[in-house]
Amino acid sequence: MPLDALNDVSDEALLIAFGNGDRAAAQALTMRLTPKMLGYAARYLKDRAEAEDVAQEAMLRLWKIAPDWRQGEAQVSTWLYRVVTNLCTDRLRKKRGKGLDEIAEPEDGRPSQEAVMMQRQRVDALQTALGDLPERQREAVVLRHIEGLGNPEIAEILDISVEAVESLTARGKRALAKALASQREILGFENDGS
Amino acid sequence: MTDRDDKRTGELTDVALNALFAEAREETALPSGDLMARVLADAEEVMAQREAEEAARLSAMRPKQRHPVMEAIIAALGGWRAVAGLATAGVAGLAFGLGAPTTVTALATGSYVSDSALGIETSAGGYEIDDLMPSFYDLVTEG
Repeated sequence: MPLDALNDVSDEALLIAFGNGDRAAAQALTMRLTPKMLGYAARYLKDRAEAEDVAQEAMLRLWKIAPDWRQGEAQVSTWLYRVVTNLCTDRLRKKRGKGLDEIAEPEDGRPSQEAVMMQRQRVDALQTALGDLPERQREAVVLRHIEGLGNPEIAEILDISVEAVESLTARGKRALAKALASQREILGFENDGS
Repeated sequence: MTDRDDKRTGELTDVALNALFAEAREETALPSGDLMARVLADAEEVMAQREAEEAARLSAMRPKQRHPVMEAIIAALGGWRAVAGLATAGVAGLAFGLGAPTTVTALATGSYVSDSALGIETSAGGYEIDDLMPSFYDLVTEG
């Protein structure tokens, strides 16, 4: 079956089809979900190679669970986000070997101030500030404001209440605003009226 | 609604922060062809493994294959129907032998004469009518 024909098919239906031996479904799911998971893992880990490993591992787990997938229990993307979150958390814990809520010192002296690099710089600054947030706040902020997920879905991914998600995102955004304030000029926000 | 960044001096406004989030969203890392190939290869491997397990499960449920020599013997004898006929004949022969050994012995060793003029068969040489039928007493004595 051509991949275009699978555009309107839900992730869950594709996963079940894969579980029944449909190779085209595997291709469609790979195209649809791998970029999302890679992007999320890359933001989380700030390391492209590690993010690729995590995305691959998460997709592998998806392939393995396909025959046992329980219809209607969870969205496939939600399940994957949860797996990626857990894999990233494990990697960061091993890497850092420090407490979960320990906040690293912000990086000083951002590089290049050339105008052409402005956007890159801004995103880098955001990534750095995100990386300095406590783990749960970072996960909630990234899932809500960059991945664009709804609070109930984030609650499911992080296994917490919706109220806790709201609290985490609010605190995370406030911490980000504070952390990025010192770079206002570099970021090009000096005239934003605040 | 929960954030009031725009009212805090020295902090980035919500608008600025949202603009940053939007830029970050645009900068989504695109997966390399290598990563996509690896993910698909994993899918293929998992699928192949599952198919192999399924095949093994099905073959375990199927009756075991006969030895090729046995298969050749059965084929030479004319297949399973012929073998079943032979087996039945063998068992019947065994039953006759066990049930009326004297009858069998008489039939095997006596001479047989046919009286064609009368159109009936008589035993001129050694057969009596009893020889042709299993004897009740024989059956009783043989058990």
